[in-house]
Amino acid sequence: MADVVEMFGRAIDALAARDPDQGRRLMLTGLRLFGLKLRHLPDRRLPPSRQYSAALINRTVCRMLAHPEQAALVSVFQPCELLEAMDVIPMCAELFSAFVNGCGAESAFAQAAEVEGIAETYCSYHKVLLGSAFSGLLPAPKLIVNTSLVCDANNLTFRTLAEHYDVPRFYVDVPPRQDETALRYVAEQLLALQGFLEEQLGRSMQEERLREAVARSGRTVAALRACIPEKREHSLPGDLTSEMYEIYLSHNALGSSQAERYAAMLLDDLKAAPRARGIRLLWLHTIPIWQTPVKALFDLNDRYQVIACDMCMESLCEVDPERPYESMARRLVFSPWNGGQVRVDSSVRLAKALGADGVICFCHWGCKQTMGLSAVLKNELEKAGFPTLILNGDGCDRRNASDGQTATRLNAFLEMLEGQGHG
Amino acid sequence: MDEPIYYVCKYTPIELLSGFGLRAERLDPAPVSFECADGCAHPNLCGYGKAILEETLGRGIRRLLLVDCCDVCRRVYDVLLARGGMDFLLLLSLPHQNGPAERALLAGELRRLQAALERLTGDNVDRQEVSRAWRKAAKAQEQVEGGPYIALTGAHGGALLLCLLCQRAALPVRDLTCTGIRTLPGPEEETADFLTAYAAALLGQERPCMRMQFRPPTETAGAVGVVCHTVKFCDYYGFEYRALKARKEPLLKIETDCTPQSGGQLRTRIEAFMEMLGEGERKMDPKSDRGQYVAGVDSGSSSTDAVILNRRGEIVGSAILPTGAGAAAGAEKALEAALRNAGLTADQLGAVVTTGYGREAIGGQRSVTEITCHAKGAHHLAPEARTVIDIGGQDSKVIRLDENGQVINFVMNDKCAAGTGRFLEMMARTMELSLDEMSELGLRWQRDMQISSMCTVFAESEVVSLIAANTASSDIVHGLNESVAAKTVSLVRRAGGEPAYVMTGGVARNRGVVQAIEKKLSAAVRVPEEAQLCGALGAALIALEGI
Repeated sequence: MADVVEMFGRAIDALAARDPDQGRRLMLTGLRLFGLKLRHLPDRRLPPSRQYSAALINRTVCRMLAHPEQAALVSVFQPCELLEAMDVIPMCAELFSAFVNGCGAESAFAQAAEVEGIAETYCSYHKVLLGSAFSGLLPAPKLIVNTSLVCDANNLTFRTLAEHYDVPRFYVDVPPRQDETALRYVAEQLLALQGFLEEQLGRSMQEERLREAVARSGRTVAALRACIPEKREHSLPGDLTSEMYEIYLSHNALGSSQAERYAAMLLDDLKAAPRARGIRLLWLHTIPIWQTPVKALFDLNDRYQVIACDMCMESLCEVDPERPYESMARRLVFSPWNGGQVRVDSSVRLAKALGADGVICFCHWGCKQTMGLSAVLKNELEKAGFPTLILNGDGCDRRNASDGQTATRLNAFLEMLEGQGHG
Repeated sequence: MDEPIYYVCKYTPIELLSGFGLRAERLDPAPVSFECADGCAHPNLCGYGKAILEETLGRGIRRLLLVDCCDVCRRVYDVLLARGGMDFLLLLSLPHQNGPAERALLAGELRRLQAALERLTGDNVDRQEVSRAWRKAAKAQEQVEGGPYIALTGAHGGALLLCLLCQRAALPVRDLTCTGIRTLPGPEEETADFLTAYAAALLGQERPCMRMQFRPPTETAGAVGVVCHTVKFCDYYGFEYRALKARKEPLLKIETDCTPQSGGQLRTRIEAFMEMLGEGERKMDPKSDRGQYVAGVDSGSSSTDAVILNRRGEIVGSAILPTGAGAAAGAEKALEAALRNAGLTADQLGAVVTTGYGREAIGGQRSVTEITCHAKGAHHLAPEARTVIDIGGQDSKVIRLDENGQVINFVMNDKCAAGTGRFLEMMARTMELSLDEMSELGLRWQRDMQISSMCTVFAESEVVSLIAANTASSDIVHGLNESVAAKTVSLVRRAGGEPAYVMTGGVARNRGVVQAIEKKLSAAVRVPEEAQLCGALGAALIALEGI
């Protein structure tokens, strides 16, 4: 399978260099074929919620690529209920890059960005996105909407792409402080975003549709929060890719009926799952799902499981449909990732709520936010009784990680946990 | 006297500190290592952030006012907060835009800072004193002199980089980096809300840094040359470099980690850039004009090469020897060997020009960077050359030439072995091959193999895994060649390389690498017979021009 992916990646890369439209069409064809497989021959070992999310995410990416003129390029942390209410497809930047990686084609596009002068040490998700745009694989979206949360790359990538494509952009600045002043500041920007969208799209937004979308977000968030105690008690057969899909479903997809359906299905699956067993880990930050030794250890394995990724929990903030702008702003301002100490505290709380045996803090290449905090995170988590592994790697670019080193670190950590009587 | 409050960013409201009689002192750290920072944070943070940590912890600084300029500054704050033991540590939130809402938000932050300073000093703010300091800062604004200058842009360079540049440049250097000139508009006489007006002045600085979404492109009009400084693992200034590349001013990109460790590499680049701008032109000492022959010595990291030319510019002797432990001794031996090879004695030499990393450690009438020398040598060997690809032991460089052999642009690899001769040497050692065997094997591959890792250590681990999986050595070598070629071609593209291509340096002898580069460039790459002597030849030609 790895060889097939490699060949597919090379074919996309080669075609994109000659004719970007053809490269995109090949990628889209490959994804559509894979989508057919997911719908008609899903992986039955996965619970229904995870089968549903795999097919849904595939469809979402195909839609972004097929209809860029109806899409807004967004950062993963950007609330998208306004887009949902105005029938704009959220084109999630990080999800797109993850799919380029899934096709095995990311290195060439990362290099295309480096040739332009972008630092080799820049976040690979953003670098692959930029390279895809510069080389024409990623089509121009209708517009761009992004927030400054969580990292500096958001302040650079989207500004550069707006200039590159010459499309309008709206920027939501989120101060790194959690108080009512910051909440009002962000809520006012989101209100202005509505005006921006109406002007750019040439149509008005119906308030009722926004309220409905925010209400769906509220129900989705409530269901996902209800999953946390269930994850503590039950072992859901799963894979790491499903966790990554959930990041999109708990962020840009909030407000959609599909995300609401997924959350409800996940809760049902968890309630019906067998009692918790094996070594159960909390994963911090993105997951390198392209790495064979990582998947080999955690995919559909009763003995070792990643029971949650903190990125999926980052957006689970209270929602009030009667205050849609404040609700979306609250998600940004009171995000457990909006500040160092709050992120440490929330990681400890989450590890306790899940009853985790240990924590893996993944330091994704170029992500100063997580790397800079990793030593503090490890220290505080271990003080609270959660052995923590700092794992360096790259969630999106094969060039910046070594399978051998990753496997040794993970195996040693799991052996250590077993030696300490966990699981 | 009380310890000052240290700060790093030009958006820091230092005038407010004056209102409490506090001294503000800017940190300009240049540590020799990151022993402390790597342990309490992470090695892959930007060098500037790590330098701030190193300096704060190493010097026992207890008062620090930070601004959330970037991810790393935020994390420096988090790490210091978690460690405890500071008397005063505050992170000021700085908006990314500059509208009424942002000014109000920053004014709120200034009130928070004021309250914290009241707690620290037990005193109230002296508003008159703040106004006085503010007026003083506004008056002391940079007086821009007309005339040509060298612009230093990009990320914080500090005194270390600025001094190096000023020493090498004949023209004035203007510091336009993120921590460079601070230009605060002065206070208006009648201000209803003092802190909001002060916030507006801070946000309204003439040269906003890259994080500001409203930042216009850096103004470099009138600059004779632009030096763009990036810091490893800093996100921002690669984007500035990208924008500057599109302009007409000659541009040099340099990357550091804010330590003095890469001083040699830095000096070479800056000197070569000044030579390219025509600032380095000097005539040889007339006293040296005493012989019929000239010599060029290239002191590299792996080998030291020497070339002797007669007055007609013909090579009459040469030598290539391992550099060994000392550059001076290695150069002496190489020159002696070249003289022997030519049947000459040192007395017969009219001039000696040195180049390469060890150029200043060895004797000679003049030292010139290897960029200029390689260009000169390559143009002599192949006048049609417009792009020189030179891969040596620790450096890879791409030099663009005009039809007269004049350097018009160049780029070099950063402080990393990937894509250099050292990388291939390490891999050859892992595979228990000689470099010649490696060169041969690289042409006999069957399967198109990819070594994806950029890092030398990771690549070595990939090679070990491939050996364990019984992969044919020729295929592994091909994968390595492809990896070096990818890195090299990326440099070629950055430099705007055009045919005809000429390759010099030790790696030019590896035919597999040359073939892989040709394939990626879809163009022929000529390797002159004297490829390895190119730098020494260029130095000798410069010596000849000088007498």
